[in-house]
Amino acid sequence: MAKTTTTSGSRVIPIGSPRPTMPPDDYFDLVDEVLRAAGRPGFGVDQRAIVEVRGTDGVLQILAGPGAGKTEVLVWRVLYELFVRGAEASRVMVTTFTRKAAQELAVRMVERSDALLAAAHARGPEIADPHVHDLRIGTLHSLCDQVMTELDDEHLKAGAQVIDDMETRLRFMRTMGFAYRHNGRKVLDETLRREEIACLFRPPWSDNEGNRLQKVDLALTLLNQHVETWVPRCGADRTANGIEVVHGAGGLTEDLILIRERWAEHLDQQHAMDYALLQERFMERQPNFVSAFDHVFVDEFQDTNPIQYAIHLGWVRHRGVRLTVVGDDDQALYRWRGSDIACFASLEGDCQTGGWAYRREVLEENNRSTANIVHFSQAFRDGTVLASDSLPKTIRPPDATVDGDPVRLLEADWQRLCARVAEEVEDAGAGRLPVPGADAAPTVAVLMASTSEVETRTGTRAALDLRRALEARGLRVYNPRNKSAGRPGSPVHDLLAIISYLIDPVVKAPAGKSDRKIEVWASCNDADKAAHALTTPPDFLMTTNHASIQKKLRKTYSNSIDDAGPDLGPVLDFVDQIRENLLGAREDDIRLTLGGLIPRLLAMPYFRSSGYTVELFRQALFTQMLDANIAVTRQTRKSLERPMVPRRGTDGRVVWPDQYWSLLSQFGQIIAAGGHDDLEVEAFAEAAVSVLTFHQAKGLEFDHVYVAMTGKEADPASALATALFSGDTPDYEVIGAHPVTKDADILRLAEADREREVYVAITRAKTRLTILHPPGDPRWAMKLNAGLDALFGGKAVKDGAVSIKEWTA
Amino acid sequence: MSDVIEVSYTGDLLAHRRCPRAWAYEKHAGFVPYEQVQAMEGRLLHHGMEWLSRHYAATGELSTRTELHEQLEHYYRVLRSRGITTAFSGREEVLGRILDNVYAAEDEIHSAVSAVIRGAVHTEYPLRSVKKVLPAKFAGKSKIMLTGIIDLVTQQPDALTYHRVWRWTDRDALDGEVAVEELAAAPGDEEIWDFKASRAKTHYLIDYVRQVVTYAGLYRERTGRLPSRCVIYFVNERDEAKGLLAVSVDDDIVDAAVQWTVDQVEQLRTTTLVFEGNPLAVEGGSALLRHEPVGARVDEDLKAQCTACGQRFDCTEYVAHLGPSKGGKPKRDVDPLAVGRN
Repeated sequence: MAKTTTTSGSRVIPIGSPRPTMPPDDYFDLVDEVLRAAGRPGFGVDQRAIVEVRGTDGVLQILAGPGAGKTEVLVWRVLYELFVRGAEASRVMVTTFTRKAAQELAVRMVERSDALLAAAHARGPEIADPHVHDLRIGTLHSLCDQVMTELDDEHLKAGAQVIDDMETRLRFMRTMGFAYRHNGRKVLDETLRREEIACLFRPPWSDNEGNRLQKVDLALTLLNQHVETWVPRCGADRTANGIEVVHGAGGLTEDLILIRERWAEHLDQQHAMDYALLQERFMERQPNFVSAFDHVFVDEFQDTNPIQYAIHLGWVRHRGVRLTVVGDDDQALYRWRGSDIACFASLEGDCQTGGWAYRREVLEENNRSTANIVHFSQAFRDGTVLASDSLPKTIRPPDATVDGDPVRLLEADWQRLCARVAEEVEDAGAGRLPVPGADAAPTVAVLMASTSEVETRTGTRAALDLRRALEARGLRVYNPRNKSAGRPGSPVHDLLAIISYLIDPVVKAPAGKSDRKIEVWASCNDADKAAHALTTPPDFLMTTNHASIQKKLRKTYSNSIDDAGPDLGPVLDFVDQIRENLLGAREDDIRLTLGGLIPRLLAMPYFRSSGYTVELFRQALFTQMLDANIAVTRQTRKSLERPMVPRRGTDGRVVWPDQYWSLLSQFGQIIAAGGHDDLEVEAFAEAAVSVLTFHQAKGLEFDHVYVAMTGKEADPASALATALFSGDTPDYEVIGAHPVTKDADILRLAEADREREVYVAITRAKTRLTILHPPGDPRWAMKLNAGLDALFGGKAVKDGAVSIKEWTA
Repeated sequence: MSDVIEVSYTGDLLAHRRCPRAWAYEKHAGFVPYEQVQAMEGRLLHHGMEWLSRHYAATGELSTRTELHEQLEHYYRVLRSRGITTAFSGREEVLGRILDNVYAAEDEIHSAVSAVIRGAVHTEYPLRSVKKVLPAKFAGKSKIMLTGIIDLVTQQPDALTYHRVWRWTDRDALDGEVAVEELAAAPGDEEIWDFKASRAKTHYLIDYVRQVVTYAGLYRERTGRLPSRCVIYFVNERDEAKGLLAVSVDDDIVDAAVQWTVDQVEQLRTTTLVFEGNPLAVEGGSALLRHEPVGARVDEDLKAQCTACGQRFDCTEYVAHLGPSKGGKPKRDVDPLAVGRN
């Protein structure tokens, strides 16, 4: 017999012995003991019914309202499977929506397991450690990759790596010119030019056709919808895409199949997988490893897309693996990224059709918020389309819950509202790093439909106004989705400008009328002007965003490219010297690559003096973006990973290889397109006012919540896309580049999608909820949601410039 | 704010021990290294071992050198496409080195490798360990999630005999040395193996020993028992006897190793806090040489990393270590204008 050891939290089980299990009643006694020790109430009969894994359970659908403790219930149901039913932990899978949620769930799982083991040992029964660390907990994407690597020989052998969104975009951009031609047709171009398609995926605020990068995004969104919706729902019998039927777009379905196949072939050749391909492969190969699992848990089930739904049902269909799904259809937010609430709603019917045991349980008690907030949220739900569109559910506070402050509606112009928020945050003691020994300050969030801080020609964005108001009082602000990580002044912008300067420096030359000196550069696509540049122009036409970015940086100090100022000047001098050194060295002696140049730049005071600020992380973000640009060239003859070898031409000008021009063209477009978010850095979130989108707020809670920008119009595009790629044929037309429909079902779905965002936002609040509304503000989504407006009757009270209405139950 | 410190043993703890400065920029702040020369051989090796084990499990036969060569060639291309390279070697040189370390001849696998393949219980077994709640002494953090990769091997009837064993010289300080002694494993012995692509003679051997003993502690946490021993396999040692190091374990030494690991996490958090105060305040150089003056904290193992480190140009430690050139200029390795270096 092998040597055995007793350790805290586990008892000796001889090798090969079956793990003893625990009677259900003992388990629940211990659960209650652990919960009470953690300051929580024990489980009632209803919760025990959810936690219990019955022998007859096939599919359990848990409908869990906001603050209903779904994570706690999920954890104990998983542990029930291990402790009471004796399942092996490695045969249990738990999928979450985000990596962060997976980490939190894993920690909670271990803590509860350890606490239960300790409580059990204190009572004396012989309990085995269920090896809770072996549970497979992660996002569906990470688990697909992990499970296939472990259990699918073909996947291991192929060794393909999952690539992120940036690399996916860049790789797709490179394939656009050649990969999608068929029988003399440019299939991709033809497809993207179809207005009836483009209108479904174009942002609602955009009316133009867009640049090349926006075409890439359109194409990838289209393909994702095809893979995630059409493939699982229509792929088996090749049902025509609804767009083809509605608009008489003959051959569209086959074109989409062809584009998708070509893209997948390219990824296979490059040993790469985007997220859509990963899911598709997993679904195809699922029968090969389904026998390795006993029970699959799915969190946030309401945001499941059709291919994920097919995977989840695949567990049940192929082998009768138990499936537990948890979610709230009122909190479904991701139709615009391909999810479909119909998956959530149709589960019961699909189980009946498949002959699989189905059980539904409901968690309706909100333990998060004050009674006023809970009742306000329920009143909002009851007054909107959600009351009829969602599964029946009534959220209520536990009996002992305090009423709390009234829910408020503040109305004033936006600047005054921002100032008011900042004042209240300061009064609450929030937004500053804690003073040792002081009471903990409340957590505060401002939730908005958009948190973009990009400045436009017509004015500022609402989130930028808010940041300025908060920072004016010295308060910390955390808004990683500000869309402005690449704006002028950011290291992302500056570093590309410097690369542009290395390769294609803008100079003043007598190229204007009457030999007037004007700014010229080689890639300006004007041969006469380019003839005056210091660099030989590329052989192909390219975009010149990079030069604009370069000029913007060089003019920051003096509004002229001639004087870069005392900070930037030495950086440009350094780049000039590097260029000269490259030109002066023998080709065989050069080792310096473009990637290797960046750290040298970052070691200069211009960048190093940033300290631990968002600028430091924007430098890091640039290295990630550059790496993605380099990655797509690695397996080509024109790899950007090779040493830089510019040559001096016979005319004395510098000649750069094509790949550097391609880089400038593509990278320039990416930066110019904007919309880049900052890296999420935990240190910046500490004690800061969180400015988050409604989508980001999912799964979070804060003591004080302000909700703004609730008034966006219901947009039918996403609901139409779901229906059409499911093979349905709702009628719609394209007016002003946007889809317009009279289909009642689509309009109802679009309206419900909008109301769900507001519902998620208002249910994040624990103790204080405030709605912000600047009447008459013409900016996007600044109106007040009609459902909220209807709740605030009565007369407003004036407090200075701010008008206040209150709501109580 | 998350209350958890998520730590990878190799990617964080050992990287931090080698150089806190490089770790802070690359792992904490997210700077992508422009060359990843360290990882290629290790990754190829782990992939090869995984593939060999899977092949054996499926067919009951050990694959030939030619078959493994084909698979590694493919995986080499995959790694290259991800920017993972070798320092100075070409593809066939790297693959040849790995294959030589696995095979004595076309159809003859070295005995140690054979033992691993035939005795693999789980290879590349994901070891996720969430520690119990620790005292909140890590600047607001109270939990650690430690991730490492473990290979568990069960000795077969022709069990191995080890010719190098680890002798603890100071159990409290977790110090020890390699002793040339014979230790015969018995059939059925459960061992935790860790593969290293470096040579056996390395300054970081002590860290590797503490790492594998910590894994034994995590294994005990999950199974309720200790392994028979731990084994570190330096696959780049031509002499198989020198390549295998057996490390005996008991409860006390495992407890000490786990505590040492927890201490390293605390040091890692300290580095993070210093970095958050001022990134330039985190100094470069090995943790093993912290007591040495500036300029003497770079050993030969670390130097290979420093020469391709993106943070070397203003690294006080590395610049001092190299010293000025004859003309008073910085040495080429840290001269930002030198295009003969990358």
